[in-house]
Amino acid sequence: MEGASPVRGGRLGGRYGHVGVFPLLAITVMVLPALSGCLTAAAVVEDPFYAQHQFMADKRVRQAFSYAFDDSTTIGEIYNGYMIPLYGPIPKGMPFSEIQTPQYTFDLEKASQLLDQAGYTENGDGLRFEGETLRIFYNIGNNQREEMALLLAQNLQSIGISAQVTGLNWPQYLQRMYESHNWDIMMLGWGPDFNDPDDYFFAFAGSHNITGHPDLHGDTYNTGFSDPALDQLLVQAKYTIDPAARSAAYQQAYNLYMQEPNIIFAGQELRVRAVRTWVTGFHFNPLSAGDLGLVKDYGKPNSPNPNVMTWDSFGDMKNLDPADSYDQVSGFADQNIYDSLVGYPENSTTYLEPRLATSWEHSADGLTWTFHLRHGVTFANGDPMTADDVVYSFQRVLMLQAPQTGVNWILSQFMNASSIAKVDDYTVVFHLTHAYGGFLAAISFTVGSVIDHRYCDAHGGLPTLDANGGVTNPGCASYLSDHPMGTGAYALGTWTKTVQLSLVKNPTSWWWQTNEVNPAAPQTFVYRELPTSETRILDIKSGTADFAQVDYDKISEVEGSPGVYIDKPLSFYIDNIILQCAPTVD
Amino acid sequence: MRLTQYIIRRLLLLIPVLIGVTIVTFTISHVVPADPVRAYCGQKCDANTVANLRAQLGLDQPLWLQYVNYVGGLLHGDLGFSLVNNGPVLAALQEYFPATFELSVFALAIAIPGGILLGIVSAVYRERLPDHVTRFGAVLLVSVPAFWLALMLQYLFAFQLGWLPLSGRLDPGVTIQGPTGLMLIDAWLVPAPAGYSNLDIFVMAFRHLILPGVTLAALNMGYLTRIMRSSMLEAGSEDYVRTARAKGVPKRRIVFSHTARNALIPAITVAGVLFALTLGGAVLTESIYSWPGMGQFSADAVINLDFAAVLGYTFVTAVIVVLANLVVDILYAAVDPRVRLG
Repeated sequence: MEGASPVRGGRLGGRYGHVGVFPLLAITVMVLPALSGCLTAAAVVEDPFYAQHQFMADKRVRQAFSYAFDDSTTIGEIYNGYMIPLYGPIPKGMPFSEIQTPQYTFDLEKASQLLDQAGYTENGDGLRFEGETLRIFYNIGNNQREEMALLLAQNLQSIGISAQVTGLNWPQYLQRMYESHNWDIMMLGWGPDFNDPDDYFFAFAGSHNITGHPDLHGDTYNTGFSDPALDQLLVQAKYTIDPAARSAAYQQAYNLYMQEPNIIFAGQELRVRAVRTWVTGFHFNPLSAGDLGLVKDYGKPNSPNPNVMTWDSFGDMKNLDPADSYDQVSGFADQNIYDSLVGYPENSTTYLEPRLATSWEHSADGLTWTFHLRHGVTFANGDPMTADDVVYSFQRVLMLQAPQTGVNWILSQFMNASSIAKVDDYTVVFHLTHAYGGFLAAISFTVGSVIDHRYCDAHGGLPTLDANGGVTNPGCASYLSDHPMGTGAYALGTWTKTVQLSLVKNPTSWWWQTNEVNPAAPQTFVYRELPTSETRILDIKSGTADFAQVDYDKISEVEGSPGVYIDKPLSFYIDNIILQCAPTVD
Repeated sequence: MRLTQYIIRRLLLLIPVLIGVTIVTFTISHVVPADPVRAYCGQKCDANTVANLRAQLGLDQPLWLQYVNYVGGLLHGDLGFSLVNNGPVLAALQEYFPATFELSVFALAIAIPGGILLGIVSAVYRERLPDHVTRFGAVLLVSVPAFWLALMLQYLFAFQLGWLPLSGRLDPGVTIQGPTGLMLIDAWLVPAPAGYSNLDIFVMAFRHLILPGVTLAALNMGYLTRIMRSSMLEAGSEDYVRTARAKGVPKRRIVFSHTARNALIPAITVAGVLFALTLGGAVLTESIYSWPGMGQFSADAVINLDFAAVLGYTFVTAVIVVLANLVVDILYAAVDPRVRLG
């Protein structure tokens, strides 16, 4: 049961904004009109006989809603300018993002016309859809989503649509989205796994079930969206390595999709972070949270404490086994503890540099890839890194099937456990099940990290499987989740879960033998989880922290402080307003 | 001997209390219409993984069976698997409890003597300046929101004056892994990290303890002062005090031997409750000072619907409350000879 509650935490900021009392029970918050008096406050009552809104299945309605989205207010006022417009599912900077052009500009007149033409005219009370109330949800604690929801509701009301905005706590929010179609509009972001539009476009616009591809599932937001013609184009673009063919397929898919969108693309975020001016050589890569020590000038030479770099943020690191690690902050730790075969240097998203592989080649059809490995690489425990470790690592991911996160899907799209083989100690070959356009990008993700096979064997080994391929024993996964050990420039120092994680220099790492790094890079990197944004702000102002995550609406409290600047690189993180498409009876 | 029997009987009473607590917490947390597995596994988690995880955690079973399994685990010392911590609940509690314990003991070591003393002063100087000042201070401390006080102290003493560290238990990048989890003790038990002496670590830990400790102490002290003052006044109007005064017993002796001693009983009760409460963790104080204690852990657990962690936390808190009450009862007997245990 959800009940109306007087607690309203959205604007307090931080994760604990809404934990004034102990809400063991679900909290549903009816948001009072914050932007204007247009919305009527009503008690939220869960209607068990919720009328499914068939009109959401009409693409003209979704087009009209796209016209009712006010991008300039969203970007300028809600995101304080720390966002750029986005014209479709592919973030700017990713391959093929240039195919997108502005489609929907804020135009309430046009929205009204479209609805009129579609027959959804206003009734005697001046309301469309027979006065049915549109149900818009956001997750409590996310101020931007809350304000976007209110802004959209306000604009929809101005063209005769009754709309109600409701905030839900995160677990309830996800439950509603994924376990029901009992919503019309929800707000959710999307961040990158790897540098390929397939990671975005297919996830949003592919159908949940695709003929001929039982392993592929699109419609990640459970909107009920499905267009077989679009599926065909997206699969075509996915399973080829020919850039021209991919571009053409994405262009056609884009033209088709934008006529029947299940998402209003609100914008692409800048990654805002307060940084001490003494920090040198730290590059934000839109694909990751940050590599450490991997550039020539990384450090903080002119600071009182040059040996410890401190990052204040929030978000739990859950699992550091690269085969089952999927959240962004765990990814940050893993990416500095482990190495992949290839990787994106500094802030580049266009150039893949050699890491554990020094060179590679592929067959014309894109099905066979050969990698030549770097010599003389050792793990932090001294074990040598060879082809055996690479083969073992990929096989383990595919056997384990990421019980906690499902992250193995990234590799399962184009290979299985028998797709990789050792040629000699320093050569491995992949025989893929499908040519995959984003192959190199995909294996550069942390799921492609190379682990030490001896270390894993000493702590449980490979997973054991039953006859159906189900995992009966996860092997070393349960140990590796808390005890990562790789070839990276840093190794795990200490980790107090939900509080603090430290990385310490791994002096034997091959990184420190290259001339691309700063030998005087800080010995220790500390990631601290500080849920209270005021604490993070004081930390960065006082110099206790070198980086601090600052909420959009608090940037002005930091901007202009001596010794601090606001770093705002473009990220691949996009904000989506998700439209229900095919409500069916639950 | 009688005391031992009394304690044993009281400890046996823990069993029905804990059964009740687990049933209530279990029921409340499991009727929430939300999916802890989905929240844990994230928005990108596919339906298959969600279903497998749910099965693995036993969340697909009927509620009564889940409860039976939970209690079965409890009897083997298994408090379940915490989603927030991605590990056993027991390990999480072992990690967070010492931090809260250290903070609580420090805070109450200030608050209890301070509150009692101020309460006595306030009552002795009734309606005179010291009383007014103390009462005003006490009301202020009781009514000020914890997070505001925490932020103000942090801003003033850590940020503006720079006297004390902003947050955490040790400086960023410094860690020690000791057997007790109490930094002030572990500082002496394990070798200090390179570049530090054991004394450095002890001083560092102590400096980190001051602001959160004082925040918690202030809130509790205001409360205790008010209780102590009113029970002092009440005791002061008793017949035996009038008799003592009539006999010409010196005022100092009346205050300390007659009034204060009798007035202590309500104060001990309250102090016991306060101690139990602070051991449960102070969510706001801990999160502002980034203190890795029970408060932060329980808040995370509740937000993420981490059932096992919520249950484990409630379980431990219930044990603490019962034990604190037991200690309070024993103290009654020590303070007031009329009270007989057993």
